Amino acid sequence: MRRLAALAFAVWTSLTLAAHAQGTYAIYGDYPNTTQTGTIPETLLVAIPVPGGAVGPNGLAKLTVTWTYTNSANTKNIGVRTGTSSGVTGGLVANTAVTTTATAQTVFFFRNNGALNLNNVYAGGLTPYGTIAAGLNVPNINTAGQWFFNLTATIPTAAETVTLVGWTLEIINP
Amino acid sequence: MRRLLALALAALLVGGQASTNSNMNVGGGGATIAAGSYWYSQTYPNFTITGDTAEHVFTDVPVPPGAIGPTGILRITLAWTANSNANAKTVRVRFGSVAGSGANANIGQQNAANNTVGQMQVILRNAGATGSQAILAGVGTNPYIASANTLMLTSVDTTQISHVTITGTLAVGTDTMTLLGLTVEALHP
Repeated sequence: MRRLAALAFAVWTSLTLAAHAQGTYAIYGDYPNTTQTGTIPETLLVAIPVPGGAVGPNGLAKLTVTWTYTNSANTKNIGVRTGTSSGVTGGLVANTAVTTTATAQTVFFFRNNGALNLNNVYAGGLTPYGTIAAGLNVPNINTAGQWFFNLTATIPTAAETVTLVGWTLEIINP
Repeated sequence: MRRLLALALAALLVGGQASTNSNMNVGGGGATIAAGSYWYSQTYPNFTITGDTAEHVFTDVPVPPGAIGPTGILRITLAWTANSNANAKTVRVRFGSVAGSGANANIGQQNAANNTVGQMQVILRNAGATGSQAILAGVGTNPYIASANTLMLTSVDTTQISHVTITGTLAVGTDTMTLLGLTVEALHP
């Protein structure tokens, strides 16, 4: 828990930029190598605070994450939540189930839809370029204030693991 | 000055392509590549190999020292074309400290057999230190996927000039394969 708190604080302090102006591109990232094990319920691995106004009304937040996990037939879930608080909170805008593999890389596209409080997420996860019958997720959080990408994991047995190896966040403002 | 000369020399070691390198300072960047910076190399080598079955260097991109810091990534995107038949034609993305070297670590490859064109992306992530990297392994053209392989680890000192080397190997020397375009992006959070 102390490690998670320290990690959250480190991430918090690394994202201190103010709102980004039109025509800007900003990069954030870390290599937390944080593991969930021993606890089955959905657990926060990393909370990434995004400064208020960082994503403009037509901006894009693109989040690329590298994961490792136990290779077994049991389902492990990798979750992405967006909300105005950190933790296992906010809407689940993407969930990726993995089983008999050992590593994965996911990318998520969070777009503001013409206004700071209208947004959508293409929840492809492992298939970011493709088609989805279910449509876009629409969290519609107000990005005028600080908000969070909450990256979580759910493991099927306490003996299994999911590790968030590293993440990179690109914010593109047209 | 010695680094600049080494960069210039590395650029001369591979031929036939126009190169555009840029450092777009998006945050704390200054005269050197610093935290918050984005550096890229955009080239269109349009370079063809044929005639034998050796591994040939299509092109080599020298990446400036410190371009990705301890937690940044290199994102490498390339497109190629080949004559379509069942013979193996392998394009490889290599990463290391030596310009244009087939001995640099193979961090991604794809066989172009039975296809005419291909596009591929590889993401290399510095693993919390400038001399340690992790790459999703054995995933072919698509880096956004799950793999049964463990992460591939390399230990290239990215505080010095590092090299992205693209190579091609033909199983049958009469075939052809052409590297069309190559984009190397360095994201330094």
